[in-house]
Amino acid sequence: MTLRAHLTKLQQQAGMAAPGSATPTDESPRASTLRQQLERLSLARQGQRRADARLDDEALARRLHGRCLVPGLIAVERCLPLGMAHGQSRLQQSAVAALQLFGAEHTGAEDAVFLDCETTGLSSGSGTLAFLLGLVQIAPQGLRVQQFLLTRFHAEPVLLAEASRALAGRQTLVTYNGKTFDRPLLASRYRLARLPDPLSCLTHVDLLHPTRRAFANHWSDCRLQTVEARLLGFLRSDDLPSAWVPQAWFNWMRDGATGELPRVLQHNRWDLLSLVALASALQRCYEDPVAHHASTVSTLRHRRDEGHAYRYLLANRTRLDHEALLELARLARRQNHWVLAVGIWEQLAAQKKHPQALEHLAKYYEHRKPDLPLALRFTRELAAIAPHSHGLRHREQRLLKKLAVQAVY
Amino acid sequence: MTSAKPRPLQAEREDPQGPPTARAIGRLIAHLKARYEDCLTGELVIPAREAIDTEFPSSLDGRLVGALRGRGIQRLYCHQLEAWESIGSGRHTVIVTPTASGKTLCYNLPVLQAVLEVNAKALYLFPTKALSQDQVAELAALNQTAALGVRSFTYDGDTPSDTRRAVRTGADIVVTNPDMLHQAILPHHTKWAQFFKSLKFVVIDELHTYRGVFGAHVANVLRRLRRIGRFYGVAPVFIFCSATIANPAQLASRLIGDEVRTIAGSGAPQGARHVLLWNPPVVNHELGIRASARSQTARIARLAVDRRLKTIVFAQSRLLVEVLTKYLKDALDGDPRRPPRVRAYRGGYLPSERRATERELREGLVDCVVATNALELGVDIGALDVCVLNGYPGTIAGTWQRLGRAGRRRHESLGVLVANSSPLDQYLVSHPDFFLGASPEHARIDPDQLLILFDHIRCAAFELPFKDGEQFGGADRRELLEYLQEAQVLHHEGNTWHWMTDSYPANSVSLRSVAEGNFLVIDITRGKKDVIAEVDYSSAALTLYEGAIYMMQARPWQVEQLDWIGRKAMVRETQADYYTTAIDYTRLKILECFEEAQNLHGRCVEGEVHLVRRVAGYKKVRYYTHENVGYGPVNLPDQEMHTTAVWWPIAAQVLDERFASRGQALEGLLGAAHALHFVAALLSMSEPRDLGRAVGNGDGSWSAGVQDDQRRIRGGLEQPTDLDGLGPRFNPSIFIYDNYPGGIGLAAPLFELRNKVIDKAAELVADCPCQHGCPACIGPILNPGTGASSHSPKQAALAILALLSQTEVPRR
Repeated sequence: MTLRAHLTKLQQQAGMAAPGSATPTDESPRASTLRQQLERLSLARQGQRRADARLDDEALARRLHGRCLVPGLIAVERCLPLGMAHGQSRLQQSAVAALQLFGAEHTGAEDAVFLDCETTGLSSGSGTLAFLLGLVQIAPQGLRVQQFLLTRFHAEPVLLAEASRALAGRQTLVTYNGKTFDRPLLASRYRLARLPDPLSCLTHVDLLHPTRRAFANHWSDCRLQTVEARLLGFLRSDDLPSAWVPQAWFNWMRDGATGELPRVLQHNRWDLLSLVALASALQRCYEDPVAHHASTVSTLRHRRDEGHAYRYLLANRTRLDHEALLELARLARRQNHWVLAVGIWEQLAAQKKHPQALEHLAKYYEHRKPDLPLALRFTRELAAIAPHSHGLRHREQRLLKKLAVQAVY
Repeated sequence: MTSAKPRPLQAEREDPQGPPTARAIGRLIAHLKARYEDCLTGELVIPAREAIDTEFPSSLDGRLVGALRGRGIQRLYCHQLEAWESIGSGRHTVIVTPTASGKTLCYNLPVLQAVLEVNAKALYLFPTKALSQDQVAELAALNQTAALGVRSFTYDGDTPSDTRRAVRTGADIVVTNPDMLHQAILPHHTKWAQFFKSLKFVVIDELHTYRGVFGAHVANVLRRLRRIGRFYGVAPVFIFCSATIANPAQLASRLIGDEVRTIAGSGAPQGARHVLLWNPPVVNHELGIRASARSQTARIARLAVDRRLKTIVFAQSRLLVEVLTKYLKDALDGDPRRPPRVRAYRGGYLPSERRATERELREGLVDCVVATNALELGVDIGALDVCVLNGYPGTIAGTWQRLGRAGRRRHESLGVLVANSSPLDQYLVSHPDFFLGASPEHARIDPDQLLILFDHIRCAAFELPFKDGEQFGGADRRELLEYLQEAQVLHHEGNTWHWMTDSYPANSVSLRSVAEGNFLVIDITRGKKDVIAEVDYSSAALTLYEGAIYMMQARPWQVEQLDWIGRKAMVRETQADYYTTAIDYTRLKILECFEEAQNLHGRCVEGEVHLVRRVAGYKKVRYYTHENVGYGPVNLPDQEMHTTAVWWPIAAQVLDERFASRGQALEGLLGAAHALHFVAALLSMSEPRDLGRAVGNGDGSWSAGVQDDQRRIRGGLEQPTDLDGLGPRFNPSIFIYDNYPGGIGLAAPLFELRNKVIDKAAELVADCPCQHGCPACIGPILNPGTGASSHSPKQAALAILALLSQTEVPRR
């Protein structure tokens, strides 16, 4: 018996699935159906593949409108005009200004690089590599989109070196979820290729975090495609789903199937353009969160400017949600505008029996403007809806005591 | 046991408790001997040993000398110096010394020296988390004494993610376990680049625990570690520490595929040690049933605590720990106003609770601790006086490790091994010499076990691409790489095999089993969905069939639904007054013979076999009365397994001459197989469940087994067959097989030890005090009352073993 046959047999006996396929524990049923789809997909393509002979890199580069830098590496470059529409938003120079809001204070127009990778998988670790690396830079004449596509493993060091060259002299790196994914992955690739990592010295703005801060409470998730639909008004047509991207590249590597590679490049380009559009859009959201249905309080707090926040909230008072109203009351109290603060609390207490508002009122009427019966009333209202609130019993006892003392005098 | 504890250890200081303790132990031994003479089957006395020590080596860094002096250490033991020299010369070294002999200093000194002098890094591997934490505490203490500035950290599943980065980039010594190395460190080696670039030492403590499946996995993890080391240009020196086994150097060199130097012979002082072997009295002579080991254990522990002796009791399971703790607390902790004298210690308790118990033990606040093997390894609990083992721990090495818990340094100490009724226990208590001689246990691993190797080739290929012609574990693995390419996992380009799939292979490889595929047991009582247990693939069919009663902590659940594909069993709590046992048939067929040896009447063969096991149904057995209260069908796929085995064929003619009937011969074969199975586990340092046994024809035409308290002969898989009807096809063998798909390398050493296995099995049966056989020797015998004829199953088994033996078996 061959080693191979022996191994297959033992695997079956040990209750294992074949090596490439999913193990029962680490895959959800949905993922496995996706995998089945992929397998069917690759089977369906087989006939087509056999028909055309494998393209050489030059021919593939032509098909992708790029050029072959060295065997195994294709570069595709586009220049897009500023002001171009991307869904309902526009690709603008203001994207760079937005970065100053998110931790890159001194970024000039030409210092920033937007980066997005397509990888062979989502798992971290040294077995996953970026086979497509996309970069966008904003120049006065327009957006420069550069994509480096690996067509052979052995050219990876050249891809990494090209990326280093493109990044040389830049200051700010902009990604979406790059802090946890793209950047550590590329750091690992540079280390494996024994090359210096050009990303480590860049200021990194990961737009996922400001997006989460503004929208996590409003959206079901913060995936880039959700951002596109809800914030940029951009709908991809005939997009290759992210989950299929690695398989498209595997099909090229294994069988020379080129069919999906243009869609892979397009997918990556859309990611990059959305990243640019998102930067500008986020800036607008942080300027006027109410108008953009963002979390008013957390976006305002991000600016660490209470004066601005107070003015903004006051100006938009009629359009604020509860959280923002409470924030306005908090700021008003700090500025000793008690009438405004109490007005908001009473409004919230009356409308919604808002526990925090009730607590504030109880405190206010106990300490600030002593009206102990009223304080007791709010305390008891609070007890009725949130019996386990912190310090509630104590307050009630204390108030009763104070009232008793009052009664004596 | 080592320097880093606050108490002085090698300083010449008289223990104020010494002499009274010695007297108390002497009195306890005298009492036990006088009162329980019948139970004592053996006594060993290991005399006290003086320290053999020496000056610090002149090459030892001055800062370390200062740190040692600060801990009260003025001189080194001779084995510590020997280790210093061997490791210093860059040789892989294994240190084999008993508990409490200062072995941690053997590796800490060279490691700390290298950290101080050349900024070297070191990786410490311990099999469990608790040990890692002790080790770090110890290093920290040594570090503090002389402000060495050495940074040591644990890195395990409990390490918070924000400190992980600090450990990766800042630690000089990383203390972890093989599972973390396998799943978290090696696949992310690029994040550890700084660490790997300076990695000079790898310390592997508790070497003897790396055997069988776990050992084979760890050997491959170490292959991967050395491969990553080569990428960063380092070839670390490996330092092993082991309890006493027969072949520490061989095991260590199998683990790393390189020569390893042994340092044995401890220079540490040791108080006199008494070991008593204790067999509970027989209460039913017919059936050979003995008094329960646990009440005997509790009694001995209580006698010791009454004499103000600090006592540790080891039990085999968590449940037993609780039961024994209750017995002892009932007896000793009656007064609620006083702090508790008895504590339990086992896995499943919160770490903080365990740490507290360890501290109380060190400070002498507790008089008695009842523990599982969680306390067997080097967790520091200070000196104790008496150790009682409730049951044989399974290996001699493990037994000595546990006994070593009592009598550290100059204390006189007592250990008592209380046997239960299993054949292993019974063999050991009746053969005291087994303890005294050189350790008979050979720890074996087979790093090239195909499934295990294949798992790690995948992990290694993920970590770094393989090159054509690259060796892994001393061989070119091209065939496996090609297989992975066909499975669309790897992509061959130029001379390199690249990982080309979206997965993280280490996640699906567990170091503790041959293959992933465990079944989850999910409790669905009252709408819950809690995972309450995991059952490995090989035993799922026998325990999780629909209708089965699944027991945990003596609580019953009933399996409602078994999802074979999804590897899930849905169970619901039940009040059933019965338990279930599977009715299964095993058919075994010889595929190939590797080696063969003749003996007087037959042969012994090692080779490959094919097993088919079918679970046909189950029966319900009522508690206590053991009556059958029903049957149920089981509909599961047959379990197949190719594995390696050792077997002894015996010609029908010989059997027909020796036995009045084939039925009696078969009884002898089954009885002999039972004894052989347990002795084989003993000698190969494996658990009884790592092996299987079978009696039948090698062509699979019939097999025999014990089922429903009846001997059953099966032709093929199901049809009962009549023995005499077999005619010339009655050509039986006894098979002892490796119970893992593909085998984990247990058959080859058993073949080497074949004569010893037969002899020890014959001794086990012959020396058993039962009349016609009992569970402790040839397995439960059927209808003991009706054995009116002169035929005795025990004599039949002995006759078979005599046939297999080189020499005539002594008869009683």
